[in-house]
Amino acid sequence: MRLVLLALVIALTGCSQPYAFHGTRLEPPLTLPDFELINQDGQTVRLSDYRGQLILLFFGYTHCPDVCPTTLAQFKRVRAQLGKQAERVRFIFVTLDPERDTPAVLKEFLATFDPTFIGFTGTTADLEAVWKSYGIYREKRVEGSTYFVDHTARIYVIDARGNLRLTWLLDANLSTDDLVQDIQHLMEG
Amino acid sequence: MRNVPILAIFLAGVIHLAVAPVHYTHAPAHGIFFALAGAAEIFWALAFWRRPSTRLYYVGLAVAGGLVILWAVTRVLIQPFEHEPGPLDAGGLVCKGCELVGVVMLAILALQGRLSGVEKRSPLRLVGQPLAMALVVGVGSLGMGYGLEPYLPTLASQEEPMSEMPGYDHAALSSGATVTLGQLQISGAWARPAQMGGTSAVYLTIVNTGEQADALVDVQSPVAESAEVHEMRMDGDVMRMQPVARVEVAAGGRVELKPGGYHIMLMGLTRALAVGERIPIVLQFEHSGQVAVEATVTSP
Repeated sequence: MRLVLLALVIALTGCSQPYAFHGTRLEPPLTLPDFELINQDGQTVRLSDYRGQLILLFFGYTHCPDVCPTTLAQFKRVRAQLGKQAERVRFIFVTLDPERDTPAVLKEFLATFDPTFIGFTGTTADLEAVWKSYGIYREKRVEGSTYFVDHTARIYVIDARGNLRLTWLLDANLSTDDLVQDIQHLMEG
Repeated sequence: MRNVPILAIFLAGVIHLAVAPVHYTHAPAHGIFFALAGAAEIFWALAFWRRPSTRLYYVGLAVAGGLVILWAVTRVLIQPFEHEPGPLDAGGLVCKGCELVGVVMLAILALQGRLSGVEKRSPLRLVGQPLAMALVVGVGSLGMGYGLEPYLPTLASQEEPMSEMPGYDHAALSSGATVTLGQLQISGAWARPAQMGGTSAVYLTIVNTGEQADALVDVQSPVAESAEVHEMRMDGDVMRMQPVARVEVAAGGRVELKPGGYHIMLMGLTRALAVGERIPIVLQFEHSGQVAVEATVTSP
């Protein structure tokens, strides 16, 4: 009898064991200021317009040759794996290069990945405030006739209430499955 | 029955017009020529359909036939305003097929006297004369192209011809297989799609089958203002991109240029890179020398 009870306790604690996120969890969730920018169709939008949905926020730039396209390609796979659940998730790309990333440029760039992806641009001043509140490091590096932007490579997950819940550091070990599992867990919880 | 050849030539005109903008981007002169040829064919088809005449019959055969001859000749000879002969692409084949069907059917119908508005004449006059006229149109426009080319450099193709690049090996490239340069084997080259003026990255694998170490020291591509090997590196949370002077390929070793590591950065693209097309990349190695490879534009 005692053994059965012990087994039951172990089983129960096993079930209630907290889910181990692949990303960095923010506990308690962080409330960051809302912001207003321009989307790829040239319309003024606020992040809070997407309240009620899970938001994956990624900061990059269209001239970015490697990590940004890789991440967007991964977003596309995440969307496919989520299937119907993807309707409750928004993928937002915020530019780090407002000089070159006009709404039209953003639109053409995002369309090569998935037309449902949302692009945000705006004035440098407006964007700087957003970068700052998310703690984004950004350094413009001129090379020849062009320039690159070294930047923080993290994805930020904002829950349906508008709170920052999770971030993922982009590295080679972060798989599409990891992202999907974390997203599904956040949507259930 | 009479409407079939008219429709065929009309269709050829529509194809010419449709591809004119694409041709304009590689050589403006070609774009202009395609637009004019397309407009002429469409205009002719409408005119002949409304009011067929002997004179229009000759004009149609001369124009459509001349375009077929011009096309055939420029598959072998270097095209005016370009560096190489034109490709045997599907669009061109369909277009020329339409023109050929149109021309041949018109001639047969005329010989049978079944083309209303066109006088019945001897076969020599109904076939021989337009054939001669088509030859004049075809060869004449080619000659005119060559003649105008030196005076209109802005209308010519700005792309560096791949065949003039050192290390160009057409057989190896067209087979799409691994390109071999001495003891090095280069394979799996692909590039990211990108907008004109933008940036793209090229990835490939280099295998060194020899006993001497080598290094990739320089890269270039005619589709970009400049090209460099870069390395992506994580510095804490920050993704940094930095130029790499050389990529070592050890004896018997293998180096992969892949997302999240080394890549060939194409900067200041002179044109858009669309999925499916192939772009030339020239690699310079310290010991093995230079080689050109083709990277397929792929959406990952």
